[in-house]
Amino acid sequence: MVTATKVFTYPETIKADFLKTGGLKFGDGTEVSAEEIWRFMTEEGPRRFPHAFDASANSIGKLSDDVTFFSGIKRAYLTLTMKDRLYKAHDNGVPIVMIQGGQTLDPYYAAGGIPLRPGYIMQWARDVEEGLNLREIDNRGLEILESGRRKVSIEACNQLAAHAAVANNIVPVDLIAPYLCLRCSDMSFLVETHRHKEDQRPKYLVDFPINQTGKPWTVDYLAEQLRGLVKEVAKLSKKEVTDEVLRAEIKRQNKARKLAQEIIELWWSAEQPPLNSTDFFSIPFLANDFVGDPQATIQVLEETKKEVEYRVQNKIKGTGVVDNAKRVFVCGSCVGPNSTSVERAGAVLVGRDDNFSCNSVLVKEEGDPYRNLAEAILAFPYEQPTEQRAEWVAEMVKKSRADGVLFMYNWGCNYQTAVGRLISDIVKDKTGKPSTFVEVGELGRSEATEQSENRVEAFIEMI
Amino acid sequence: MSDTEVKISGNVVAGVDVGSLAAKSVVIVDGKVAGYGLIPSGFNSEETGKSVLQHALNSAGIPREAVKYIVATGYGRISADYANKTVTEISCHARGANFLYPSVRTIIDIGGQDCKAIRLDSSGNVVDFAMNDKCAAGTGRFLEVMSNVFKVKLEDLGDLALSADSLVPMSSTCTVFVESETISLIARGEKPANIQAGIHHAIANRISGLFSRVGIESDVFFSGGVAKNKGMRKSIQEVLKVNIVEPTFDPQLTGALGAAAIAWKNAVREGVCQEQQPALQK
Repeated sequence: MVTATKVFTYPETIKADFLKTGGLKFGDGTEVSAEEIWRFMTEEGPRRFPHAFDASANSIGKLSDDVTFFSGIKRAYLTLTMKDRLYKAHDNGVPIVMIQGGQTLDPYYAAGGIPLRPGYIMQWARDVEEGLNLREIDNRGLEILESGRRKVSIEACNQLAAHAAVANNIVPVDLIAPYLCLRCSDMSFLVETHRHKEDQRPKYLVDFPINQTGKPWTVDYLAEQLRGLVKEVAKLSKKEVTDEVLRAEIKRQNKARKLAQEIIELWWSAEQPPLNSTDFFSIPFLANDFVGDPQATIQVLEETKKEVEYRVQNKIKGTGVVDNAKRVFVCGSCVGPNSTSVERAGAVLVGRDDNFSCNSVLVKEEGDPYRNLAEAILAFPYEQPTEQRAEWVAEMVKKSRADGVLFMYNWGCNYQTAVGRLISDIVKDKTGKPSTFVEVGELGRSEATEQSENRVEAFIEMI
Repeated sequence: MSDTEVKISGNVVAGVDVGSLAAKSVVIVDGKVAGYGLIPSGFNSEETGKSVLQHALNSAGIPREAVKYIVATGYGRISADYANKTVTEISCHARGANFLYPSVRTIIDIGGQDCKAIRLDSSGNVVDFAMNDKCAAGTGRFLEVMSNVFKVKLEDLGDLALSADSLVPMSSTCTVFVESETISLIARGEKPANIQAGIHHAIANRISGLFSRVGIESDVFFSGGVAKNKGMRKSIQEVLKVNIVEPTFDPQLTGALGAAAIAWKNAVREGVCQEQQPALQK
């Protein structure tokens, strides 16, 4: 039964306090006041992006109900205004680069580009046309995905949608330059498909020495790949990228990585979860994706840390989290459980191996920046051979005091499908905590997700 | 005091399981099963749930207003405003099997649209489970497709498989692939019974894949609508090399029974119903 749409609104009662928190400063030198953020989130945003303000529990990307977590409102603002910033930057000659998720973004930003992982490209593509409700935007997403399937293969995973959005010029992407690493077997396959009928768009693949980690030559090899990547982006941005420029970017992004680590540790240390699953899970994303603007995002992370500290000290619990919530650690890429239905079932999400991985390694700030980046990338736990990744996950499960481990992956994901069972079994063995794995087929879709939620809910009942 | 008067004395709870193909309901009075209902799932989950509950109440001779607590389960539970609580069918099958046979530690459940391997403890709590993912292979729907191909009633498929003189090896990965294989085999002149035996084994193989993760411990119980199929029981026993507990209660009602048992426990805990001795009886 389809019920009437419930529209999410921020209560006027919080406005005065929100305005006291101040505005945001962006990388291009512009600023936005708290008053303007409030206006956008209460007037312009709901009008332009009604789907984002659909309060239905099935909407996996729905806004957080924790309206007094003000950094969360700013995060939502950054996400909803990403499209405007990207168009503006692109018009000013900033190259937009399609990348792989979960990897270091330092070289792209240092070289004057804006890197976007497939998820953000899809968000942008779906939001090109405004005023769409949840069902309409789902259909828009499906339309793009199916156009890709017609062109490539019905067997490709749903990430194909982002590639189709690029190939069909729905969004202006100037360069396709992802890392090819041990997380996604489809990325290299999908990049190859761009060679078909669209030779004109530059491509640069950062090769990853799979199964060669630990061997000394791999650092030099990857460092050389990164030099090539920076040159490729700089060719488009016309920016001169010295080692000093890259070192400065590493320093800036280390700040984000450290903030993410500190916020996660704070959250874990709390008696009661200080943020709900929606807000908590956004932190590693922010620290690694920057929603197209590292400067503003780092400011939001700094404010987040202060709010979390205050909540931990004052034993304030995130809105939506039940007392004594069961703690679920998530593994896998691209898809995750619906935070709202997890909390409705009496649990809270305490971590995720994918997004925690890239924030868990700080890049050395002195010396050859390319070698430093290569060393860090090669140390990301998510990209280690499967048993090592599982050992690291087991440690995270212990640190986060998780009650169970849920491995989720997208239908068609050849890589995570293959390792899901192995990792679940190893983690179960090492921690004594129950684990399960769930394959889903609804990446990028909000409706008819009950079957996946049913498996997650049953797992929560079990733990 | 008449039997009916005892039943409506106050301690009435119900479980409602709205599945993809069938809706089931069990009514418990004073800790004992008093009635049940089984109807095809309609298009409207809410109405189907209310209707099957009414069937169960009618079979027990109990008015609707006497019901103190309802637990809804199955895929239709998201539209169950009539229920006090919703619980997944995995937990309900475990509780239902435990209610019937406390020694059961492993459940094979084959329903209309999915199959599950469930491990449980002595209290009927789930300790591990695995489900098929978004695929009709290994489910009741798979058998429905096959009954269509053979123009045989669904309930006669098992007997047809049992009459086979040999077993045709079949794919276990995809309902549509198996349907194509079946049509080729029919065209080649293969005996329908042998094809059916192959199909039943393919489903059993599919199920056994789930157990590689959760393991098997005796006693093993087979629940869900497909558990009524004797050919399926035989194939699973052969593939998994286990004995399956002989059912004394309709296995298709296990989920609804579990929901009712949870309803009873909750109602007693919340003081809505008074615990009777013995607490729960078949």
